[in-house]
Amino acid sequence: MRIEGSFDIALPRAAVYGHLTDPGLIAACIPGCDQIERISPTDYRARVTIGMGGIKASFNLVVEVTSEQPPERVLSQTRGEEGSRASMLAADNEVALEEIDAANTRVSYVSDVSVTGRLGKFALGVMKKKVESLGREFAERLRERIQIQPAASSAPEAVPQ
Amino acid sequence: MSVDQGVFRPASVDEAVSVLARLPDARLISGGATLVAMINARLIEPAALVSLAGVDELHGITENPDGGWRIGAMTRHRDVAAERRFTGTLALVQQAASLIANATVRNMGTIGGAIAHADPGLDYPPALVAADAQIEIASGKGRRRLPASEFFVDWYATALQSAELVTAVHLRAASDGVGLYHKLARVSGDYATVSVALTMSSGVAGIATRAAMGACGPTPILLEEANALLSGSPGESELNRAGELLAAAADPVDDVRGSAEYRRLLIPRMLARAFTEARAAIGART
Amino acid sequence: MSDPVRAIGSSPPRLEAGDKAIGRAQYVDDIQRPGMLYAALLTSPHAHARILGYRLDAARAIAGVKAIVTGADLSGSRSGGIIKDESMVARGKVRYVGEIVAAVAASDPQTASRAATAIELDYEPLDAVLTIDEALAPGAPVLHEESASYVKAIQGGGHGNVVFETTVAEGDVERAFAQCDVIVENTWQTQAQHNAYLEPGGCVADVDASGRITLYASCQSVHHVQQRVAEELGEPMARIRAIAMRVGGGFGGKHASNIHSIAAWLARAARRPVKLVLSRMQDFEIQRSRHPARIWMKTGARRDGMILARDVRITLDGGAYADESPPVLAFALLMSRGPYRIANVRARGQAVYTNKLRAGSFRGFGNPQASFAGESQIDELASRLGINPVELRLANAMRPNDTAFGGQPVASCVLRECIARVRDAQREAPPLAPRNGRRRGVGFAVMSHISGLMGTAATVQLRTDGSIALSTGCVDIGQGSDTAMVQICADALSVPIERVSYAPQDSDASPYNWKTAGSRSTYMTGRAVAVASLEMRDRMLAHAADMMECAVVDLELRPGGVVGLKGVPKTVGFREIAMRSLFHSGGPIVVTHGFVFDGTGFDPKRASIHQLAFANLGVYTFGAQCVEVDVDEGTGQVEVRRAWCAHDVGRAINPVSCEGQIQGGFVQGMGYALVEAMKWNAEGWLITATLADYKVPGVLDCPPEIHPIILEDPDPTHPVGAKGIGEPSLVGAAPAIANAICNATGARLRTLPMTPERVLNAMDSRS
Repeated sequence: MRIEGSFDIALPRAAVYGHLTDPGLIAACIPGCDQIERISPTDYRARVTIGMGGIKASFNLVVEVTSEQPPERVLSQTRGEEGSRASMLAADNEVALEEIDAANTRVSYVSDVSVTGRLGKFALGVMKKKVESLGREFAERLRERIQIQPAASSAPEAVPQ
Repeated sequence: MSVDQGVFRPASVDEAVSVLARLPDARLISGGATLVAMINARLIEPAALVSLAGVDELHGITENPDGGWRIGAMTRHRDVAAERRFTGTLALVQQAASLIANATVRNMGTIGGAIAHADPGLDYPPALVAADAQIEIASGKGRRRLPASEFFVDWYATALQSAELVTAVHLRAASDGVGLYHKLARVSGDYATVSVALTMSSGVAGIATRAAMGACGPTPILLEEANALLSGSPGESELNRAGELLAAAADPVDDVRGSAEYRRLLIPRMLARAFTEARAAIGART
Repeated sequence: MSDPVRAIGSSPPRLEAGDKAIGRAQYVDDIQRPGMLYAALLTSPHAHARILGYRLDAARAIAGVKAIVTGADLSGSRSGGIIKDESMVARGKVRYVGEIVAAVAASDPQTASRAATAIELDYEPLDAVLTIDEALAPGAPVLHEESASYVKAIQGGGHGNVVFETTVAEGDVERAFAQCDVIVENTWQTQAQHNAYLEPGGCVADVDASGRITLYASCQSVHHVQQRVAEELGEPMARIRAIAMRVGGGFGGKHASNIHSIAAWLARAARRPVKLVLSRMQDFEIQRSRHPARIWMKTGARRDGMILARDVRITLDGGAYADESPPVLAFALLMSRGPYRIANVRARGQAVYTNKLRAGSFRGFGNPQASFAGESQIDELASRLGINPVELRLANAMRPNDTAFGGQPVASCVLRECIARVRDAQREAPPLAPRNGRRRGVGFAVMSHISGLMGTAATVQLRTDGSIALSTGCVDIGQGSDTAMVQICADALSVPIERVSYAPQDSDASPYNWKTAGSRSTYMTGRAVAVASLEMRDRMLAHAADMMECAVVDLELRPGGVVGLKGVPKTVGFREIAMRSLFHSGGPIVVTHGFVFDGTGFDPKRASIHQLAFANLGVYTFGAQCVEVDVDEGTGQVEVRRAWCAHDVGRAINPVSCEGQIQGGFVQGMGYALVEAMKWNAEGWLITATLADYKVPGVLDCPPEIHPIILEDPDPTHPVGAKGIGEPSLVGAAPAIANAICNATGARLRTLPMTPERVLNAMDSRS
């Protein structure tokens, strides 16, 4: 399923790019993400728990940044599974930054997500809605955090969802 | 309270609430029609089950002195489907129950279990929202009541907090009028592709209508603005406008039952059909 | 003397009905054996991937695990049907999501399941092809790179993802189209339908001290299971025994064996009985489906309604393994002419591999797809010609002694009577009241089908007390063949059916039968039963003649197991004959009759046939169906209100069973027409793997009136004239309903299933 959206942030593009590459900040914005760690210059490990209607799933994810094009674009791949491989999650993600003006940036995200296994058989239509709403929630949190924080630390790495 | 192989059998609502408070990962089991299927599909693995079968106050349908009704949470669908005392505007609750799944499920499933599960394709939620039912909820702090329209909050999500349970559904006394539940489904007994629940009564100011659409979003869709359009002496343009409003408020899914686009298309059509049928029935009576 | 009891033509209750009704019938899952283990399966999460390695240590370490099998344990050539491209667990590659990659036997189901999940495989994912177009695209990933090395009983495919391709042609299509006044041409799409039997697939494999394996199976042939398991385990067939339990439906889905070998392998390895019963979800994911098809068809006629030519291209989506794709394709092509006199026909077809569940045998066997296109096109042609569609069918219908497509002679053909009967029945029925917001339409479809194929046999034996022991290899999968066989035998010997026992199918004891398939049981095995029974009658008469010191011609069978001297009350009972043969002279009376379908095959002088999966088919049956539908103008939902189904059964052995087959087939066809569809997501995962997502019509969805009309035109090649009725009734439902929808709304649906959404879109696109 394809999840996409965009939102505007009142910050210059380079500053937004800096935030996007701060793993701690990103982890705090991903709904249900309770830990994130860097395991190589381009790879991160994260744990994300999502729940719906009493169904809970905790995914161990590896995010690989496949392409960085500062300050415009970050491409990444997410792969992971629940414990005991009951479900698997794979996503190809793209985050693009567009300069609205010197002080404002439009952030667009596209993610092709596939969930297979036990969760891949349950209420697929609703699952898409759920993932879409997670995407929106992420965007809102990110905007809130960035707009109240000073410019990002200098870490050059990127961690999209 | 007996406990056997991870199944708690409380004898009262208070006991049930205390188990839930102690074991947040325990799940209530009422009829088991959906829960057991989900366990079998490994979608959920409850730490323990709390059976409500032995809680007497959850069983049965009782009439209040004011003509309203209390349907205990453990009341099986088949008993609501067979309830002939739900007349007038309340007939839609009985109709919705009679269209749930199949006889086997109706013999097992309960009204409390169904609404707590809050699957958007279920038959009860739109019917209870249109009927302006109240959901009675118990917790360690006592009881509270919520209108059905506030009980359903998101996809598979309700206003129930942790260590809370549904104890009853309250229906206000029936008005002299019509209650209708129409369901479009792929085959008999499937979840609704789209459903419409509608009550209509007539008075000096013309008709009063409440309509709720099911299976078209995370929760049943009921709009006061649409109800206002459908009340008084509505004509074709009001009916069309109400349909448009409900369709615009919908957030349907794309799934094996139909596309989101098809569901949106059906909202005004099914509304119009139910409305026309109700109006004809009212007309025939007055 | 009273008239003989005629078992044929009466409708005694099914022999097993009582047991089924009260829950005493024994199915595979009812079996318990001392020390029995339970099997669990691990399946592929990838639609297409190379298997790089297995890690079994964690699974092996779990207490209670007694045996594990993976593709690494297999060697030798692959197995399968006509093209041997499968193995019981994946080897080297996985080709669909849900393909079995490993199996575990453990002391209880939970342990087995836990152990199966603990097995780890390393995969190298490969690009997958999920549709016909993707499979045939230049440069598409190839599923079976090693196809050239497979053992094949038939050639005609093997390049790229093509499983099999062939052509059947008669006359000169291009020249004939030039003479047509009206030509119609279109493309149809059909979906994967699940067999949706009540009982998911399964078996119990037991093993004795010598290592000989006995399988208790839910299957459509014990002889096939025995052969397939022997092949996959590398054992001689003498070391494998297969016994059929009561079977909770098959509809073709249990036609080929693909899980029995796993239980047998695990039992052999663990030296313990092993039960393997699929969950409903596993059954959806790993058994088989009806072939999705794309059919292009062009038909031309003269202005007077004479159809001159038809050109057809059928492409079947066969899924990951060949299974029955070659014969299904061949049969679809042969049925694509329809039961019409069309002199110039060309039918070209391909079956392709895709990374999905294998498609295989399913009630109708390619005919429902071909007939959906063909019978829809006849209505379109009628509309263009301005001729009533029923009249157009009558004018072009096959008649007795015509030839079928491919050149086989057809002796018995009552198609025109079938058409007239449904037409008249519908006309004479009191009209249903019109309903607000619904448009009413009437639609027709006709069909032919076959009963025959391959070999079968029956054994009858006279017991000490004069009762009869009947044995065949025909497994009753719910269609009522046990009762029909007993009726045929009892009728031949003029005894009540209670005097005939019928043996369950056991490869150690039952005479060979190919399969319960192809609407063949009553025709093929029934014919063997009749011939064997009549031969036993003759042997008994010979004994009686000796005993009564008269000539055989002076004797007659009398009802109730008695031989009498014509015109005289003097009799000898079957019991006395039995005693004599067993203890005095002549020996036990045991008669076996076996044969292979012996009808005239295809005619190379008439038809040019590139490759077919069979030399001849069977005898032809014909039918016509008429439906009345209501189409909801607001929602597009279609409701079948009434149906009339006229079918030639040759001779109705058990008329109530025939009616049941007609009604059941029609309802399954209605499910195919309106609602049933297996769907896969972009990753190749089946998203309709439960009965909540995959819907079949239930009793409340059945039309209140389905009128079976049985025509009996005895087939001259069968001693009692019977033909099969298992499949034809399904075939007409989809086109008849499509034609009725078009009649009601003007909208022509060419894609199955005809969901409310599709119907509404088709209606809207017209207005």
